[in-house]
Amino acid sequence: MLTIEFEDAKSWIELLEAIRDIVEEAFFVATPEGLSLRAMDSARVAMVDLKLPSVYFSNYNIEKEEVKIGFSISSMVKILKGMRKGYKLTLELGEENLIKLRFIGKGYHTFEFPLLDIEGENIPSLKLKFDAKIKIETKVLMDAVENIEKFSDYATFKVESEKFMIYGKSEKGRATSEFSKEDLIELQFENEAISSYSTEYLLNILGKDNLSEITVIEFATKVPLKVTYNLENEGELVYYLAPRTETE
Amino acid sequence: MIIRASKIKRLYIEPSPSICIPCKGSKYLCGRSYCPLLLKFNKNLSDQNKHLLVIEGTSPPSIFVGRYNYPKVRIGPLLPNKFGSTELYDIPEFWLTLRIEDILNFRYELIRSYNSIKVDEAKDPRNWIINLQDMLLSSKGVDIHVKLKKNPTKLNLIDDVIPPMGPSAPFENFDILSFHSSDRSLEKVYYDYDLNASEAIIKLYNNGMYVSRISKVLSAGMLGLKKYRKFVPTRWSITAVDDTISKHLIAKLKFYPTIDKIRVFKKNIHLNNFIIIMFPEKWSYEWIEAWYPNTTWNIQGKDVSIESDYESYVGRKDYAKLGGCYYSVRLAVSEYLLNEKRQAKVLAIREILPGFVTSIGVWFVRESVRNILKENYKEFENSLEALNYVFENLNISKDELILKSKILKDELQQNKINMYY
Repeated sequence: MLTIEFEDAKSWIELLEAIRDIVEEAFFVATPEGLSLRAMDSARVAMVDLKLPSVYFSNYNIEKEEVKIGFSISSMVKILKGMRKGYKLTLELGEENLIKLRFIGKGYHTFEFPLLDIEGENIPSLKLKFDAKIKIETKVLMDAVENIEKFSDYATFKVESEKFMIYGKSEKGRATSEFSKEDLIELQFENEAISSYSTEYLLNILGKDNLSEITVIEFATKVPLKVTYNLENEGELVYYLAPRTETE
Repeated sequence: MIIRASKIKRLYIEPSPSICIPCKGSKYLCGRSYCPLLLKFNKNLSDQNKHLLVIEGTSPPSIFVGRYNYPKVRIGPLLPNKFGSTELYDIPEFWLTLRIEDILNFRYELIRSYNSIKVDEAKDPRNWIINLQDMLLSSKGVDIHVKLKKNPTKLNLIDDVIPPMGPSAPFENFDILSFHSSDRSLEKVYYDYDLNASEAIIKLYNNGMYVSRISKVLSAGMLGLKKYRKFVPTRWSITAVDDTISKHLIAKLKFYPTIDKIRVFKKNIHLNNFIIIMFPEKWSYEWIEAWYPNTTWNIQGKDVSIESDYESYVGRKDYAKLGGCYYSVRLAVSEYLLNEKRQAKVLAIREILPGFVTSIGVWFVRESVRNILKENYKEFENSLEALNYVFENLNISKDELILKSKILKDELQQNKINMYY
């Protein structure tokens, strides 16, 4: 019914690790175009939008128009943890409601998981207009948010003229990181923008430098933050994070 | 080296809500070897047991396992010095409609007779332990004759988790005078040495056994794999059972859809104002206690003291700082949701109003919340309206509550993704 091959098993495990802090159960959809996942966290504050087109894989074979694959991400990550280096991975879905993972490298290892018996919900696309788009080194952005998290439960993102700022404050003090256009890989903005986002969520979304060394962020005043990691072979992992109601 | 008494500095601090609420007489955070507040509640005791050397009476049936000196603990039958139908004395599931003073009266009649024994002797129990376990197999009261080594102490047992109990005394020996038929479902689990303790707890619960009775048999070392059986201090067994069952129920309710609208339940029971709010979102849970001045753990304070504990959809790994109550209420709300075949985000608030100056055990919050969730609720379409209603029905200040509550903060200060479809 469906056979997908990853040249390197590590990329599949790293993707699952990247989304497991937001999503507990994943409902992937496979079509002739590729494999995708759209899911929200249980509190409906963040959303994951993963697109892996068929060219992302070393082999992609589907016999149906659409196949749904639901499983618990955290339990799969736990089981596959030891299998990351130097293995080729084949993911197969047969008729018997099992997802079968085969690791080929030093030896031949097979894992089978029952698919989740519940339907994933259909989540519509978000209608968002952004005022600012920033490309920044993944590690640099993560470091800045980690500093702010020591002071505040939320980080305020601000763009004005040629400057991008992130800051947070509380009775413990204040942390600010400022980036001029030269510090960034790219800075585009149409209007000044300011919005605050939960640091707890940001820490789960940012810093995925094993997926991409560059993070693209887009935002506008009181609009969700869009975080994009461009993956190899046209793959894309996008997170959306709803803003706090008030901006400070 | 001899240290003169006058050189030893006072290392204890005076009771205050910030140390007493997380402690509740269990951790001695004030540095004393006893809880000064509990001792105060305990002072007017009768001397009726002063000359007792033999107790003859009907045990509900019940035992008490202490936690001091663990792993060598005190264990023995719990019984009043009278025969009769005493079953009610140890079934908190029936106590909510009684007056607190009546509960205290019959609980204080129960004398804790004990002998010290190592907890892992449960895997190879000696004869008197087997007799004790046999007694617990009966669902009816069991008549016992206990010969004491010395007269009972004057102190009752008052604790925030365990229901109150009367004084204690070491026993010389005891004889069971009457036999009743055993509870078959319990007997099956007791003799199943390959069934682990969590599975045994769930099995008994699914068979309809009261959680108070499950914790009793767990404490008596009657559940679990043979090689791992242990006596479990009564206090720990109560919370272990609430925790194990509610975890199991939460895993099940996560397969159901969310409720459709916000539900708010409220009720005042014995000077405790309970409000339970359920939001139409995936499972998460927060428990808040607000202790007014002139209540058990805030006896001399001037301000209301608010503490909270939270778990997300994924659950928690550490022990809740509010302790036993957190797990008892989690059991009550997860039972309700599973029965409704729904999941929800749940915020449960308990205001303890001035005058509630006793400590009667976590059964009180479990049974209160179970009772409240059987009654009608008010439904709301939007969260602002619901929260306004909640704040109107609470005595504590809205701002202070928001400051302490993760769920309220998120509800009022965090937008949701689905606003942007």
